[in-house]
Amino acid sequence: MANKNVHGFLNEIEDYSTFRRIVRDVFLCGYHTPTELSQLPGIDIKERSVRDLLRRLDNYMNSNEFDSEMHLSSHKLPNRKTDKVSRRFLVDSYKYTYNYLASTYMQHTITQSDIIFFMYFLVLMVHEDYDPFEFTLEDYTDILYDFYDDIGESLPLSISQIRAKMDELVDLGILACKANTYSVHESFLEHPIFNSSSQTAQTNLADLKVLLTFFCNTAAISAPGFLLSNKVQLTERFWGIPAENADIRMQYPQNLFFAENARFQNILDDDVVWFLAQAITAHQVVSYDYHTERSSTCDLLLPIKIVCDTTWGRQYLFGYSYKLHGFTMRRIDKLDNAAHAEMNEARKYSFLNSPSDENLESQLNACYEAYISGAFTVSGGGSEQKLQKVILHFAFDNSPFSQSLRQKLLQAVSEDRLTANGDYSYDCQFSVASAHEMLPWINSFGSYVTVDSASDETFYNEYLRNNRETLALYESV
Amino acid sequence: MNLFNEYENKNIYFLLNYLNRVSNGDNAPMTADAIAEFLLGESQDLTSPEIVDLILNREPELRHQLRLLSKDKENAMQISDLLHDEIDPVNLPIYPTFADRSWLYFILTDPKARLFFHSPVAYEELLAELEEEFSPLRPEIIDMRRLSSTQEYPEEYCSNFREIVFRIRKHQYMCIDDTDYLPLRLVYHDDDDSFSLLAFNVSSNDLSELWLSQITHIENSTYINFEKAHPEDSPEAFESALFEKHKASMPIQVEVIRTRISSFGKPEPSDALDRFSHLFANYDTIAYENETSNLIAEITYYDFQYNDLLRRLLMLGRYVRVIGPDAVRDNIIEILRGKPLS
Repeated sequence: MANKNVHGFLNEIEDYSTFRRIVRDVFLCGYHTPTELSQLPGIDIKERSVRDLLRRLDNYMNSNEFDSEMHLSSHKLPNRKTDKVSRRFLVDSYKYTYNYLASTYMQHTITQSDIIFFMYFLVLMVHEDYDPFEFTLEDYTDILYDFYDDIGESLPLSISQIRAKMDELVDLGILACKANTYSVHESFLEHPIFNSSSQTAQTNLADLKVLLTFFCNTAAISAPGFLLSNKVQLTERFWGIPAENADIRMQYPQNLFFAENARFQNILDDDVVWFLAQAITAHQVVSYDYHTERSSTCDLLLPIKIVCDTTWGRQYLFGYSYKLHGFTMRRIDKLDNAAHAEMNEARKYSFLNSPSDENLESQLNACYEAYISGAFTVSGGGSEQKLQKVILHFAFDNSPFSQSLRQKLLQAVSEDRLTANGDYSYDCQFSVASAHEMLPWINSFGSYVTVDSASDETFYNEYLRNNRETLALYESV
Repeated sequence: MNLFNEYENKNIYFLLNYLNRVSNGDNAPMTADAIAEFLLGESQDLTSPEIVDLILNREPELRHQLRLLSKDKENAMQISDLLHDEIDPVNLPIYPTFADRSWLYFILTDPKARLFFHSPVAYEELLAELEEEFSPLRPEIIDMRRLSSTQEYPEEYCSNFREIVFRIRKHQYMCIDDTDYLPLRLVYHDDDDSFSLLAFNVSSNDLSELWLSQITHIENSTYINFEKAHPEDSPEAFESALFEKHKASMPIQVEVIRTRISSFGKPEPSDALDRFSHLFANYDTIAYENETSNLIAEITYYDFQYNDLLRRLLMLGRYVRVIGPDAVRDNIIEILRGKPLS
């Protein structure tokens, strides 16, 4: 299955990767001048274009005239010497229960393919013979000829153009194609569990809507499929189920959730993730540029797994790098220009022992398991990973905050790993590839946790230094 | 796409509306003129191929006219009226694309998906249907790394969840352990994959937060629904006033320290900002730079978020310093030092 909708998306959004970087830098952190932005690593456009992009973004965000409060404000703060602009998302989780970026994306990423779909479908639907909906390319061409003939015009497309459009519809999943016969792909919404006037079908549809609302804001992986929840609502509407507060604009579902809005990064990256997921499935080598603070490098990699770190909302790509000659974990938001690369089988699997079709999946999985086994979250090691010992002592008191931390601990660490000493005191031990990665989690317990001096020495010293530096921030108090 | 980009999704309605008109028995193929009239609001003397061309090739002139059209409120209202009055609902297929279905398959494989379906059969059927397709977003190639996750929700938890969703939608009261509540919002806690409920507690006349894992049995309340209990008030206004009361009057002001000292003793940029913006994406935050190029952020929050907020600040360790209000700063210092400030 090709991924036309993604290609379409990338082609259609002008300067998409720049757009993505700018969203991240300006609309999340919001402190750059356009000049500074044009100089950021990975952004290779002129200052004027940056200004254009900013204006476009502002329009995107502010285009919803019905929600006048839903504005991304950009304003200068008083007594500031520079012209640096501060912006913010208004993300009051109570009032705005949909994901800001998700909805921007939803409203502004209708691809050319979508238009093709509507236009061609339109042509199909006006034809009387379209039922039953199964046809060959020739049938369809005839339909088109007839259609244009009826209105006294000539067909504006060649057969190969028509074939290409049909293939796009197949790629999009709108048409199915079997042995040169096209048929309309049955939508799951047409399924009897949704499509009937019975109470059960309507309950199912309502359930589906709530499910989509929830996952639209929380799913760690998204697809270029965010129109789905809108489509369900549209379907509902055309089935004659009265929609609440019917209005010409897109309707937002009733507020059932206190919004979880931490998924912006995934939404911005989903086209890349989609591409990589397909490459993993097809065992295709990919090339890409990788940007870090200091440098940009190209890499060639066999992707094996997509890894989501939910704590920091980051997505990683695990795979074998032919440049580094080893396994690596790359942050997806830092990679750019991902594309398929050709490579012969012998070189592709050179890091495996006698790979065969049967054991390929399991061998690749084993590589990942070996890498991740020692990780606290995502930082693992190779086959010879050295583990660091971390011993923690927790001592909680009666305060509500302390009790909430205790609850978090009990949920995060399995019982067999915890040794309870009395009601509020626990010991636990970890062996991890990178103890450094545990630090934020340990920090979140404040002084209710102490790291035992018998822990890995390097880490213990890092922990002490970290504590010293944190307290130093407040020394004058 | 550019074409549609500029006018929001409502333009989809134009096309859908057109499709509807055609499929509703207006069987003669619409003439090019009619399409133009439909799209542009007036006769344009264009041929069909020209229209198709215009749309596919994103002709600037048409875009301009469409832009004018979508800005014109009166016109928009007419379309709206058309949608609701003139056109009988038809079973117009709106096809989820391959990506849509793939994503749906992915989220259905999440244990939380079961919480939403009243009918386990519907869930299974939908999953089975999508399973047959070849989705790139298969759970076996995606590893979710979280500190704790729930693999399976007990039946009681699932039915309570659905009961609560239903009651929030219908503004219905409920009774848990002899206390009456009006359920308002479900809160998802990403860090431990759990849910809580924000509800109006009738006895305390205030907002309460209940953990779904601790709710055992939901009963009907003597206050049936909001409309009966407060005939002269709207549920939205009531809820909004209640939440407003719980909004902290002063935002927390913090400094995000954007440099760290490298192992060579030199300052270098840290990714504190990146982490900060993720952790506080759920909070209404305004940020600006101070003289030392660090970022000052003002975080507005609801008081029931306070513990969560403290925990997030602590997580950032030496990369964030609480400036004010004094009470919050003192609280952080006490937690860090492990003893009360003298």
